[in-house]
Amino acid sequence: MKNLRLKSARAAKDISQQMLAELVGVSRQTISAIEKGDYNPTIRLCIAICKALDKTLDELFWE
Amino acid sequence: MSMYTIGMITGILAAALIMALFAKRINKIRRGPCKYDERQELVRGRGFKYGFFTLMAYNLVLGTAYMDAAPEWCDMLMQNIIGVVLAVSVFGVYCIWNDAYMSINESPSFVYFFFWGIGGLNLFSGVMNLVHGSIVEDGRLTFRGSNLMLGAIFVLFGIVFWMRNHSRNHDEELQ
Repeated sequence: MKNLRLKSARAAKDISQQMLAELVGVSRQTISAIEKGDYNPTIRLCIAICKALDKTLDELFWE
Repeated sequence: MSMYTIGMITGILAAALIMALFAKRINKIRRGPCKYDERQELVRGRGFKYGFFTLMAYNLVLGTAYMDAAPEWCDMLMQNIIGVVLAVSVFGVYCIWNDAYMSINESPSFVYFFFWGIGGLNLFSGVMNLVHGSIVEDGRLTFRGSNLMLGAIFVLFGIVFWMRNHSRNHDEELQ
């Protein structure tokens, strides 16, 4: 299932996939895979993404 | 000590020196050792598994087909090289297609030219061996055919890498 909340939170902060990837220390393709719903990230990566986007886990990853 | 032995030792030392210089240069380009993220490690693990099963299947088929005597169409070393080449191809293609071959700190253009460079050099060497007739001796494929196989693998990796980039760019344009 696509993670549209992550995509919109990233777009709201005007951050590209590449920039977010560099902030959290993963490849751009991994961010793309999370947004497309092709990859289920570990809690560690979820927290890093939340911190980078100033969001909570609930806001970005809780269904 | 014979001239042949001296030549062999000199060759090995020269190759080791070139490899060390090459490794140092690559390390400088990619700023340290390869770093893979969690998704890439997962994909690479799956790639290793598929490569390993490919090697097992190859050995099983070969072992069943030639239970009593060694195959006549190739020498023992080449027989093993073919298995390794098949396994590495499966691993490489799977990882490239799933964006896990290249680490986070590697440049795509460097990897792309590395594939074509190594592939081209091995193909050239393989074609030279083919011209000199040393790949097939007495109707048997010899280990000198390994350059041709390595060249083919790297060219295959280069093609898959190009196809993957092409399809990804197409997907991103659609989104």
